[in-house]
Amino acid sequence: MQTPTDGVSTPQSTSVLRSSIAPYQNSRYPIGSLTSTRRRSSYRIPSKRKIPQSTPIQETFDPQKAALLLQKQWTLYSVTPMYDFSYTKLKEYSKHLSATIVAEKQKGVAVDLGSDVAFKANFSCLPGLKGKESDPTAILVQITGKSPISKPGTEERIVWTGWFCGPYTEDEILEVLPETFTCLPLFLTNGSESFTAIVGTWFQQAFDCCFGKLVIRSLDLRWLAAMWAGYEVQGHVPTTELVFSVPVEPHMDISFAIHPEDFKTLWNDIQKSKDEVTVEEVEHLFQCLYSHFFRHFKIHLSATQLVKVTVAVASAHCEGKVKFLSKDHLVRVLGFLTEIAVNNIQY
Amino acid sequence: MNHIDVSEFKARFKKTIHSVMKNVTIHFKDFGDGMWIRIAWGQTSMKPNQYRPTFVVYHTQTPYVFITSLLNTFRPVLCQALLSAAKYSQIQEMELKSRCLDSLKDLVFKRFTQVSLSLDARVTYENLKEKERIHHLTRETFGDGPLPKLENASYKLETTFKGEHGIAEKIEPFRCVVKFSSPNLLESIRSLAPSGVAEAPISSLLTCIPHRARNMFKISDKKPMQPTSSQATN
Repeated sequence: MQTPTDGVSTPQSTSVLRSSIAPYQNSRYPIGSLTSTRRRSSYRIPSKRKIPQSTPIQETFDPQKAALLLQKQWTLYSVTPMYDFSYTKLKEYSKHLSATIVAEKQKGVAVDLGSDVAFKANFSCLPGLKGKESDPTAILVQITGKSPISKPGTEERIVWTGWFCGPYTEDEILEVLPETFTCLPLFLTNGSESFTAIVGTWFQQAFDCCFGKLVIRSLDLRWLAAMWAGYEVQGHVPTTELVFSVPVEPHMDISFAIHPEDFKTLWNDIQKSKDEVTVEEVEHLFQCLYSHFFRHFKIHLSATQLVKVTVAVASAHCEGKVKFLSKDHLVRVLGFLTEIAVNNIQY
Repeated sequence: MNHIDVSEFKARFKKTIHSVMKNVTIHFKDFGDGMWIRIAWGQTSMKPNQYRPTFVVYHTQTPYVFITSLLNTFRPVLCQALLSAAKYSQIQEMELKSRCLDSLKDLVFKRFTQVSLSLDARVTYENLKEKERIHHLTRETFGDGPLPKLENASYKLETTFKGEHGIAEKIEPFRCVVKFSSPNLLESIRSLAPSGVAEAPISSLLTCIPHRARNMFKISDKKPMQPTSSQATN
């Protein structure tokens, strides 16, 4: 079995879905390239995106579980639909995955996992992490560790967390899938890469799915900045920050941090409809910012690469790292990332 | 003040600090022509923290000190001690930061060399191709030699939004902070125009860093496109 450096194994066998179409390609290959196909059509660059309205489902999301997901850095992966996954067998899966971790540890492959610590995997559901009724329920996988030297009665420490979700997955996709498949295209992990590799391999073997590292292109980061510029969140509002990587020697980064109120006023001047965002509006926003910047520094930001965006709801890095900063609008941001994940999957 | 008695400086420095704070250890050491002062601070009920000392580098023949790892709490005490020890009446922060002490010295003491080409702009540039023009302008501004090492430069901008006519004109001013970071910032800035990322000549906001010996600026519209409290002409 081949194990790429991104920590998640890719299968050599072809699954039911892929067998009739194209051999599996490593999803780390730049998305949007010529060979990348999404249902045999070239990668879509949407010309507009709807702003999803708040649904009652989101409000049922358990605040305690939400707290588990906030303020942590998550690494993103895209996942193909899982074959024969059942929400009634979560206990069984927990046992099975725990046993796999023990076996891996005994093999001595994953040396950095700690030799004396007893690890346990636990599957649970994240109800409420849905954009609409037809979205499959999100799943949370936690690995806890208990050291033999820790006092009895002390809580087990969570050493690794991963979750699968897919809010606002297009119904078009969900409907064409046979019922034996569960579609949760977005996989987020926090913790040691060794665990990510073990869990990834286990899922791949158990449900015949495969993982791809998810990168967020500059274009998507610009969408993210524009779409969430206008959102209000409760509590502390961080500065809107755009980080650009400048192709000079030695390497230089430019951080352009804008007062959130001013950023919002600017966006409100540009955005025409409150229900949707168009690609022209996104490009217009950045054109204005680039132009303001150029008048001061004579530097063309358009010749640089946008690598990181921080807005009130989340911060996202082009290497597929995301941090959620607020429970408000969490599902919507996940919906956006799900769309990117779906586009990253090569059928 | 051209000459000071070093032992007198040390004594006065210690005395001033110890008159205010007891739990402080102070050590002096001479390296080259500079005096290094290591200060471990302690609070009333705590021993001096030897793991996080403040270092002060002072060249007695110059009116500059270089300070590292200083908490705001201890800043007034240290400044007072430096003033009374060196018999100055005023001390001011320069808004210049770097990890590289030698580069800071080069900037502050204006030791780094620049090539000044005495070309008549009107005659010469007309005949130069764009690439050569950029090369000349870059060389004129930054010279050929190695540049002092700075890691960051930050600009707090409070200027009218100049994105596009009719857009966001009611934002007055547009508040933003721009930070440039690089392992060697001035080298990066030097390669901006040749690599096509910036227009030549490079903005005076960036080129003024070495001349002004400053890498933190606040820019407002009072003096458009010029750092505030500008005195230097370049």
